[in-house]
Amino acid sequence: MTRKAAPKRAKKPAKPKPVSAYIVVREMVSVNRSYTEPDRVFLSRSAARKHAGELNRELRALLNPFDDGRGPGDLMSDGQEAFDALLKKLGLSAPKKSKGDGYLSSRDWAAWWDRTYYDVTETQRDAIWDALDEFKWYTVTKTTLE
Amino acid sequence: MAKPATRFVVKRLNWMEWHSGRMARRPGEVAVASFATFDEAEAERARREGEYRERANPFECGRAVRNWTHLDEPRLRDWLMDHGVDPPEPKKDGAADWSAWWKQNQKKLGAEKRAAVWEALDKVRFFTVREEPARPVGYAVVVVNWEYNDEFYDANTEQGEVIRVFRTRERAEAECADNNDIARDVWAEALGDAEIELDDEDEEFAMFDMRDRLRRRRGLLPGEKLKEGEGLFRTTANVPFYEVIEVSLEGLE
Repeated sequence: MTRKAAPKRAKKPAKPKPVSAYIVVREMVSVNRSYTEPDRVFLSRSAARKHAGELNRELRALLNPFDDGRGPGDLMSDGQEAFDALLKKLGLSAPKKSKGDGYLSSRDWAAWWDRTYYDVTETQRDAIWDALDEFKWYTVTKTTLE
Repeated sequence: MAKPATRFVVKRLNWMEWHSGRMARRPGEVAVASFATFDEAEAERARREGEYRERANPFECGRAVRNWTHLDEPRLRDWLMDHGVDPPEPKKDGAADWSAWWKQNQKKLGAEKRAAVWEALDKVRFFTVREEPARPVGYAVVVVNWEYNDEFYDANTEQGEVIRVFRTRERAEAECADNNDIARDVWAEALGDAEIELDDEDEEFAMFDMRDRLRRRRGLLPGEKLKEGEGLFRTTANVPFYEVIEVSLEGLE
């Protein structure tokens, strides 16, 4: 008597092996740690870096760096004095301080950026952006794709 | 080697509601339609752009002239006058209220002059066409950034930290559901959900509000509303603490 062969079990589809991948995100000013949502996932870090470069160029074109109320002193590790020195070197004038004493006097950097935009050359504007080393740019981070 | 097949993708540019009903553009774009030929994609882009122009005030898309056009203000004024459009008079402080001027005059201008204004405002565009290689799609599970504003929790419009990315929506949704179950238990305990009394007085109150996030995702303009109650949650029961977003996969075929 021959034994009946056991029916073959249907093979479960193999779980895809997780692979390292890269996304491009920008850390946002927020109470919780938070980032922009990515639109692409890359296999190679260099392709992700290229995309980050494109997004950062867009950021420079679209944003006013002082729009969220922070001034050069907050966006530059060398502080306000270094920024004033940079403006002087570039031949640009800083905005006037508003009336008030001590901490009540302030300079409206966001309005200054918008007002002087067409008087500032691309080279001057790039020099300002380059100096704002505390500004949050798009960067590449690692993730897992399954 | 054969060139990879490309598609012509209509993309919505990343405008979001900013302070006091104004819009601001940020880097990034969302694919809304895809075509085999440029002409088809361009026709769809023009149709969508036209629809948005019917509803949008271009002078509320950013607050300064530099957000609207490559022309500085004197050149913008000249350009408009050359096209038979009288721009707003500057006020005492030298600034003009372009937004109010548009609200008051856009209908009177007529189609041709309105189109001339939009043409001058070349930075206010809502859609574009990109030629891209056809790419596979993945699904990222992201943590929604809920921030407390002293009254309720508000879901940040454009933020979400990626946990993991999946090749199939099914797996991403399963991971997302598991994470949401755990998060809801934790939040319910922390906020004392069981003690919340849903009496009539508080009927309007929602502890979690994600309307701005939904509005941005759908590309709604300021003043355009969601369905009543949509995006509002009185307790943690159905709150999305995690969501699945679509991402394109590059080099990961």
